[in-house]
Amino acid sequence: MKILIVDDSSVMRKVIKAAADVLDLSTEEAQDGIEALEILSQRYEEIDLVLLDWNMPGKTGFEVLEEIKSNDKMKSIPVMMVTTEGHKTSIVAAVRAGADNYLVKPFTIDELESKIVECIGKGGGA
Amino acid sequence: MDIANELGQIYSDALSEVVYTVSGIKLQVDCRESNKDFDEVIGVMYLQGNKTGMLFVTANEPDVKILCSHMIGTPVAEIEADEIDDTMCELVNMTAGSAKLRLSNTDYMFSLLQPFVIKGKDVSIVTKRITKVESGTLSDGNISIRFKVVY
Repeated sequence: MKILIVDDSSVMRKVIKAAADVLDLSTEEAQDGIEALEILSQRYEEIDLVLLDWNMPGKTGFEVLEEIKSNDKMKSIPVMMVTTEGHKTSIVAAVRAGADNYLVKPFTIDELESKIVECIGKGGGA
Repeated sequence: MDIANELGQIYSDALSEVVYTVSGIKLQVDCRESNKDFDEVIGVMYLQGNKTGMLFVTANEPDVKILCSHMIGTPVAEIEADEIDDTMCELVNMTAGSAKLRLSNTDYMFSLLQPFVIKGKDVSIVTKRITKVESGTLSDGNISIRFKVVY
């Protein structure tokens, strides 16, 4: 299984990758929303979960989420927002736009691992 | 509760909670002078809301390396320059996010904007038209992180 990590922070990408490594999941990284959509448009079948930051330069994570969920080829890929936007209105907006899960920064590695497992279980239809 | 009088505590709590969650480092209020011998790294975020302000989170470069090392599990000596910048951007970002939650439904609620970093030795930040300043230093005896919020 492969996770696409979308975050403009290399430190956050490393933190998330470390959790994926523990779960024995392979990863691919995008440093902004535009790069993420390029990867997904070319290789959407290889991606089993997208972990998406919200506040990024260029295209926001919310805009990327809307594009993924309005694209027939990509919309079945589970998306988890991983963001500092912890306010109820942001969570509701993301869920309405199709987010499958939501994790507020800061988080512990245990919390992240548990959320990833939750998402993969849902999306993988195991 | 008068939120204006609680702001310093809210940002202090937010910063210490964020650092503990991401690194396991437990910071406490510290009144000692910071060491000016090293380059300082300052994470900055505009707080855009009914009360417009700015949040500054500052640490010396060696302390940022230690924090980053705890976050990503890489030895301190192998922490790269861009990771130092990213660590402080994320730190101010998460601190602002955590404070924002605590300030929900108050006049001090704000939107999260893109954080950025200022670096240099013995940096002074001068802001005009300040109506309120809250600041503090948190330390575990090993690393020290300062915050300043201005409105």
